[in-house]
Amino acid sequence: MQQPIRLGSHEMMELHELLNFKTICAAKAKAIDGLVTDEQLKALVQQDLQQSLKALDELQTLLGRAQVQ
Amino acid sequence: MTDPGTNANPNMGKPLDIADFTDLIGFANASAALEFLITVKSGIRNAAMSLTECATPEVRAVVRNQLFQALDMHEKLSQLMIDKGWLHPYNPGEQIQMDAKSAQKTAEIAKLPLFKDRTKVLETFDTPQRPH
Repeated sequence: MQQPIRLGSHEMMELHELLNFKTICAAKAKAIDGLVTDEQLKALVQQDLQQSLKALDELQTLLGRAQVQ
Repeated sequence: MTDPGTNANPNMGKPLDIADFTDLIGFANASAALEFLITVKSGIRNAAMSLTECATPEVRAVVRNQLFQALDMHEKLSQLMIDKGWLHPYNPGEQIQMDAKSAQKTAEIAKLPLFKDRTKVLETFDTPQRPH
């Protein structure tokens, strides 16, 4: 099991906001991927999508371990 | 000095159609790149501001890492946009002209009666007050 982590309530809020932002980033990156035809731009969009998904994982892991004080 | 090509309606009196626009694919790519750039820039600001509110080392490490990733992405994306001629950081005059053009083109496309065959959202829900 993952170790719990003690967070201030404001830190929870920040992580939550970043989570929402990255969620929309991932959704937009997927939509834009379907729109662009330029190969180089497409490669960057796809890299950004993978990074957003990884960021979502990291943020969710932190939020899942959080013990608000 | 009336030049029929630059009148308010350049399309010989007929309403504009999506087919009247040239290089829509290139324009879509440029617009998508700008949208992407704006999102990356917002991400950098969001992450930097979050970092100033966080004290826990593990949280700071994750947010800082994501901030640096976003900065790298900004570097790559802006360089790509410069190479493609979509961004002119050393020529603000050219940049303003280009942006004004794409603003006008976007507004013209946005005014076209597209997507008329799609479901009318307002008629699929009960709404307490219908807009006139």
